[in-house]
Amino acid sequence: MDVTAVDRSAISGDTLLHRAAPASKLIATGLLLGAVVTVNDPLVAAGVALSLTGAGAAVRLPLRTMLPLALYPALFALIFAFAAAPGPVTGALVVLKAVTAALAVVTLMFSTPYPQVFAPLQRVTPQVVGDALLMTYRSLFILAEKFADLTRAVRLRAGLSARQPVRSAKATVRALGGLLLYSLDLSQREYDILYLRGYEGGLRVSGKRSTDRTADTAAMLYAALILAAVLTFRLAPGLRGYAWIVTVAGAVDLATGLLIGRRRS
Amino acid sequence: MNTHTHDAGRLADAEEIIRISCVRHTYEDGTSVHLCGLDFLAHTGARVAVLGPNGSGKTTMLYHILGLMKPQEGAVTVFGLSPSENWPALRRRIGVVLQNVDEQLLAPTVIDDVAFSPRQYALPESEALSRAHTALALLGIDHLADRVPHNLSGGEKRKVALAGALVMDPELLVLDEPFEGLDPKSRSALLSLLDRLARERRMTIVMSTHDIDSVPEFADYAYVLAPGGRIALAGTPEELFSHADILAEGNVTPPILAELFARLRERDPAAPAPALSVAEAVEALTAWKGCPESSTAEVTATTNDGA
Repeated sequence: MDVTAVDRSAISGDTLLHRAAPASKLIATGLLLGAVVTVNDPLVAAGVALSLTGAGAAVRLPLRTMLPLALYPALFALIFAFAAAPGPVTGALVVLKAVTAALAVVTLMFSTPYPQVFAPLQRVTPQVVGDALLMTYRSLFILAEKFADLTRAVRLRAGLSARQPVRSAKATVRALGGLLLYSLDLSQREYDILYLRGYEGGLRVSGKRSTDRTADTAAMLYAALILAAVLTFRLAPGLRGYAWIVTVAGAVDLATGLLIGRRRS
Repeated sequence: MNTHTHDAGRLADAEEIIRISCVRHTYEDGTSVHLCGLDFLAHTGARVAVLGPNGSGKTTMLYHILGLMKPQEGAVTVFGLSPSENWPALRRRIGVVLQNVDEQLLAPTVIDDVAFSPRQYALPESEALSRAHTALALLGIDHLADRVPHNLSGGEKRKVALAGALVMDPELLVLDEPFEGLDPKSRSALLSLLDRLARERRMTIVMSTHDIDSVPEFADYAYVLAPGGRIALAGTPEELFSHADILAEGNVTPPILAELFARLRERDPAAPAPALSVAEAVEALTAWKGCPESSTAEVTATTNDGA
């Protein structure tokens, strides 16, 4: 996973979603996750996934990077579905739920800087947990850079070779071991820095305000509509035969989103 | 560019800010650093350089000043207090830039990083941002405000870290190898800024460095650490660089100009006293050779432009 691509999109992006307040996007993500939990028909779940992809395309989020990330959970969900689902319909539902939930969260992460996502969680979690979540942010980048340096060094010193897989594996494990030791050392140094720069427990993150009220309203309204549609199909079993309408609507959303996105580029 | 003009008036009757007396620290691997021999002192508004080879204890000394290490022997006082025991009372008065600036940048954007300390001290958000913008402007990097720290160049990261250190307008600035990764123009700008901070704000600046050529330009006073941490020599840059033998003990090579003048003196005792800046060297050499005044001025002007 290219963490820097997520970070770059979240911080430097300038889409409608980026302009919305993190709080609005968190609420919208919560509503979408609620819809994923509630949905009990694979056609409705597929419609939600398509619509969400269309929304991403309309605001010009980097879908090429986002979609592979959202599809990761499908692999694990597929294994679970094969092992435990009573039939293909339930199996499809399990996979679609996993993909849709991941898509909602990936959309949030690509449009909101990491600290802004975790700052609200910091208020409801124990202080040390909230601070650890926020501190993970920089450490992740430092470690990713360090690992890239280590891998480069191993490669330059002929430690990685396709013809010598065992030797390459050993070299990689040694590099990871080195990285682990470095990360322990790094945690101490990072704490020292925090201490020197005024930390006394409780990292303070400034709340980012919305720069576009319309974006706030649009994000929350969209998520609320999705949840309402899912709830309708869940609470009215008589509508089951019409679930394909949601799939078609999702496909239309996707097509429209791609068209809007293309026009904006 | 700043030249080494040691303003005696500015430092006269200055208050003692830091004192390190015979401190010993033993690391887990058994390596011991014994900062002894001479007391380390820094006064209000002074620019103090700490020189020495790798492993001589420069960073250990700075960590003691910052309260990150507690002396096992001896004493460290900063603003009259022991930093390892009273850091919360001291930290608002001290700005720090450590050697690895990558690990010092904590926030998602430059402006958030520079505003980190004011927010930790619970200043109003408007004041935190205003201070952050002022610090960025001071370093001429306000255009980087919305950039992501991990995408900056090494020199830019160092400037952002320095802005973060200056944001609370500290009385004491501690810098560990501040010139690493800076191009000559940025280095020169940083030297001018440090000079301005010391003169205009009476900021005390302690800097460890390997950049020997920056010492005459930067420091009012300097200390040389020998391997093991012994403080082998202390004095103004002129005093320091006239003791080539003691400097050699500390694996410190004098600036090329100091060495040139020392060798000239070996050949001819009538040669001028060591000059530590190009302009001074030109004046001293032209006076020694009896060049006409007009050509001296011309050469000086040309050299200054070049510098």
